[in-house]
Amino acid sequence: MHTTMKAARDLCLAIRDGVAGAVDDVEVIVSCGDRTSYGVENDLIIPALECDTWSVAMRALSYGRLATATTTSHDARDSIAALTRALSAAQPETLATFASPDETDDTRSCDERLWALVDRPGEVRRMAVASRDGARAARPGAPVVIEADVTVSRARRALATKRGGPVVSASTALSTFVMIDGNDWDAWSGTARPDDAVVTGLAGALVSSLPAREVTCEEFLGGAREAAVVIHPRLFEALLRSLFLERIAADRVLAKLSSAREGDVVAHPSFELFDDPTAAGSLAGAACDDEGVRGGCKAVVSGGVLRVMPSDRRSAQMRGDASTGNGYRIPIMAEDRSEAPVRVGFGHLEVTAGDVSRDALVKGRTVLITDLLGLHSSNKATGAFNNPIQGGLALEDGVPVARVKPGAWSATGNLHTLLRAITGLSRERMMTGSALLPWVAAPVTVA
Amino acid sequence: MNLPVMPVDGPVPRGDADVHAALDAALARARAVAQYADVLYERIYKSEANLLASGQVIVKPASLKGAAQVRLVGSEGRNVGVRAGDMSPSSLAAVVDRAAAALAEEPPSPEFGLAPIPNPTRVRYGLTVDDDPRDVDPTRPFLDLVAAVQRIADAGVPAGVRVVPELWSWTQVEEKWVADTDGVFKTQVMPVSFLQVVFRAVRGDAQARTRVRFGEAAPLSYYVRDGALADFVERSLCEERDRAVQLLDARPLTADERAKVTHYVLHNSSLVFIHEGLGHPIEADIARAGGSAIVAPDGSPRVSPLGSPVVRIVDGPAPDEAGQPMASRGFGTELIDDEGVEVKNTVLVEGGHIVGMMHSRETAHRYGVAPTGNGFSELGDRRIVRMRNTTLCPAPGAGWADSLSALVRDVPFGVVLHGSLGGAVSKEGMSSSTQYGWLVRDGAVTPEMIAPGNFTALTAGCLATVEGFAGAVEAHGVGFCGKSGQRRRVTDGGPEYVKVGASPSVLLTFEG
Repeated sequence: MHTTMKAARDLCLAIRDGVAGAVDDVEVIVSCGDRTSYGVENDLIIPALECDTWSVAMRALSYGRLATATTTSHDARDSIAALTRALSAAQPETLATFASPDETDDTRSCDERLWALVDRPGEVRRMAVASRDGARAARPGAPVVIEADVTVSRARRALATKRGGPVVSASTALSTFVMIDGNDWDAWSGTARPDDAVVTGLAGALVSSLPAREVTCEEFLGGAREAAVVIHPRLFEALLRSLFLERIAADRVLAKLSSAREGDVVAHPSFELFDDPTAAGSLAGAACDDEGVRGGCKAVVSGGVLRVMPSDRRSAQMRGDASTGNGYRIPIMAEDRSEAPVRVGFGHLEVTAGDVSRDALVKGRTVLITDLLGLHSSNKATGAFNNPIQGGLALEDGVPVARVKPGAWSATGNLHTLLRAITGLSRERMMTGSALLPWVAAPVTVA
Repeated sequence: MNLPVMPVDGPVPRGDADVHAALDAALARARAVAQYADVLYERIYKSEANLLASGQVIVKPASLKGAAQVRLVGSEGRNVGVRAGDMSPSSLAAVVDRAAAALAEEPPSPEFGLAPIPNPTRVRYGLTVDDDPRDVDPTRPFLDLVAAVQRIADAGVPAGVRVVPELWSWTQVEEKWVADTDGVFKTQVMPVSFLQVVFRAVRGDAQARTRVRFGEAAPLSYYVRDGALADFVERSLCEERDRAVQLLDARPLTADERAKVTHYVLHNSSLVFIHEGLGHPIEADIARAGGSAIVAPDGSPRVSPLGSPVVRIVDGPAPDEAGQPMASRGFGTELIDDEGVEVKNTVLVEGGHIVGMMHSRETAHRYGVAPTGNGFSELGDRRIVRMRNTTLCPAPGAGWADSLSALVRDVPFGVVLHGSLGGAVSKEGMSSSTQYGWLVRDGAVTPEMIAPGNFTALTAGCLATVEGFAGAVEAHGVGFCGKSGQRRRVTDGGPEYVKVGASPSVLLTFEG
C-alpha cells in the first residue's frame, strides 16, 4: 500500500513542481485505482478486472485566469504539457488562490484485508457465486432471474497545490448489488470488509423477504391517491443529493437558481441533516474535498431550519466566507469525475433517527418505495419528481403483504414539500455506504 | 456545414507504430497463457468548454485519456478481461499476468465463444479529421459559442424574466486499435463533437428549463464557424429559449383531461422510448440474461407482433430523411465496434415483428449468428452489447401523413410531446421525462402549452397502437447511455412526429 501511495504522491509533486514556476498557483489531483469485479447473469459469472488506472486533474491560476486540464497518463511530462497548453486558453476567474492544505497521509478508509482481496479474484468470484446460489436456494423449484455483482476496489489519491500538501490517501471499497426478476433489488457497500455473510447472503435474504403476491395500485389502494408512504433510505439519499442540494448549495444560490437563505424553514421541525465530508469509513468521506479543503461535520438543517449552505472555495469567497469543504468535481451526464468542474456537493450525510420503529411509521394500506425509475430526469429547478416505482412493497400497518407490480405504479411529489410534511422518521437507520439515514414517512401521490 | 469525409481507407492513428509494437508484445505474452487473446486500446484527445450557471467560463483545450482491455480465452471457454490504464510494454505485461492469474480461477464455460471477426484483413477505418484539436486551438470557437449562447439568452426576454444559460460542449478525436492472436489488426479514427445548452427561465420563485443537444461525427466547425453559429443551431437555441420562458405559464393536464386523451404525438426529440423501451430489450446480452420482456433467453420473441404493421426499427448508422443509413453520420456512429467488427445496419423490428437482435462477438457465437458490430466498451471497460443510433424508420407507404396538421386531423383530444431530459428502462417498461407539450383539440394543435411530464410505456404493448408518422426521419435524440455503468454516446430518433393511440400500455403523468 505504502509503495503505491508513494507513486501517487511522487507523480502529484512532479507535475506540481514542473508547472509551479510558470503560474501563480497550481492544484494537482492524482488518482490511481485497481478493481476486481464479478458480475452474475443467472448461470454466467462474468469477471471484470482493472489495474493501475490513473487520472490526473489539474488547475492553474495565472494573472487572474484559470486553466484546466486532465489526463490519464502516469508520465508527468504528459500532464505538464496538457496544463501548459491549457494556460493559453485560461479564462477570467474569481478565485485568487487555491487552498493550502497541510501535508497529510490518510488511511482511515483503507482496510488492509480489502486491499489484499483485490489481488484474490478467485475469492471474490466465490462470493458472487455464493450470492447467486443463495437466491436460488431461497426460492427452490421456482425460476428466478438474478443479476448481481460483487466489486472490490482500492484507490490512492494525492492532492497538492503550490501552497500546500500533498494530502495523500488510500482507500478501499466493497460493493455488492443484486436484482431479482429485473425489478426488486438490494445492495451493500462500505470501505471495510464486512462479514462474508453480508455479501453472500444478500441475494438470498432479498428473495426470502419478497412476498409472493404482486398488486397494482388499483387493486391495493383503489386507484391514485395521496398517501403517507415510506421512503427507503437509499431513495431518500438520492433525493437529497439530486434535488435538495439544488436548493441549498451556495453556488446555486449565487447563480440565483435558488432563493434559499440560512434561516429558511426547509423541513419538518423533527428533521436534522448533518454533512460530514471527512467522515472516516464512509464512501463519501475523505481527508479533504477536491479543492484541498478539510471540512468538518456540520448541521445543515436542524429543527427543520436551514443553518449552513454547503460551499466550495469559489462560492465561499463570493459570500465573504470560508469554504465548508464541499467543493467536488461532480460529473454530470457523461463527464468524467476528473474532467468535471468543481461544484458544490454533499459529503457523508446523516439524518437523526426518529423515535418509532420503521414498522410503525404508517398505518393502514400504503407502500414502501425502494426506488424510482429515471430519478435523474426529475426537476432540479423545482424539486418535483414524477416517476414509475421500481421495487417496492405494499404495506398493511407497516407489514409487507405484496410486491408492487412492475410498471404498474408511479409516484409524484415535490421533495421540498415532502420534507416539510414528514410524518415520521424511523428509529432504525441504514448505512448506505455514503449516508446514515432512517426510513422516512411522508405524503406522496401514488398512481 | 462541415462534415468529414469517409476515405476508402481510414486515416492512420498517431503513434500507430508504437502502439502496434506494444500490442504485439502483449499478444505474444498472452499466447503463452491462453488459447486466444485480443486487445483493445482506446485513446481520446478532447477539448471542452463549460459555461456554468454562475457565469463562469471554463475552457479545457487538452484532455488526454487512454485505456486498454486485454481479454484472454483459455481452454473449455474459460475467459477473463482486464482493463489497463497504461500502454507501456511493462504495464501491459503486468496486465496479461494479472489476467492469466484470474483465468486460472475460472471454471470451464463451454458455451462461451467469440464469433469470427468479418473482413479480418482490412486494417484502417475512420473519417478525416478537420480542425483537429490536437493541431488547431479550439479556444476561439468555444468562446464564440459561449458568447452566442449568452447573447441568445439575453435577447427578447419579457420584463421580469431572466434566462440563465448553461453550455457544455466538446470536440474530440477518438482513436482505437483492436488486435488479436489470430493476426487481426484494425484501427479507427473518429472526430466527434457535442453541444448542450440548458436555458433556465426565472421569474421570482418560479423556474422552468429546457435543454437542447447536438452531437455528430464531425468537428466543432459543424456547429460554430468564423464566429457564427450554424443556422440550425441558432434557430434551435432561440426556440428553446422561448419555450423555457413560455413554460413559466404552462400547466399540467388535469386528471379529467388525461382520461380524455385519445392520442399522444411524439416529436422526435421525445423518442427516447425507442432506445429505452425497444432498444435495450433487443440487446442480445439482456435477452440472454432473461432481462427482456419481449425477447426470451433463447432469442425467440415473447411478444408477436410487437407493434402495428407500420413499425420498423433499426440500429446502426444514422438514417437520412428517408430512413436509409448514412455510414458516416450520427452521434452514435462508429465504423468498427470495439471488437473490430464492422458496424452493420441492423433491422430489429420489421412490419411490427422482431426480426433481429444486436450482438457482440460473444452473443453472436451464443446465438449462432454473425456479429452486428454492437460490442463496445467505455474506454477499456469490458465489451458489452451497446446501441449506436436506434431509430424508428417506417417503410414508405401507409401511415405517413404530409404534415403534423394532417397527422392530428382525426385526433379529438391529445397532446404533442417535445423533448426529454432522459429515460430509464426496467424489465417491463421504460420511463422518460418530457420537456413540454402542446394540446390538441378537435383535430388541431392549439397554443396551450403543457408542463413537463413523464411518459411511461410498457414495452410489450407500447408499439401496438402506433398509427402514423409525419416529417423526415432523423436520429435527433443525442444522449449518453449508461448501461452497466459504462457511458456511451448514442442517438434515438424517428420521423419528426409519431402518433400513438392511448392505451393501458402508455401513460403520461405530471409533476406535483
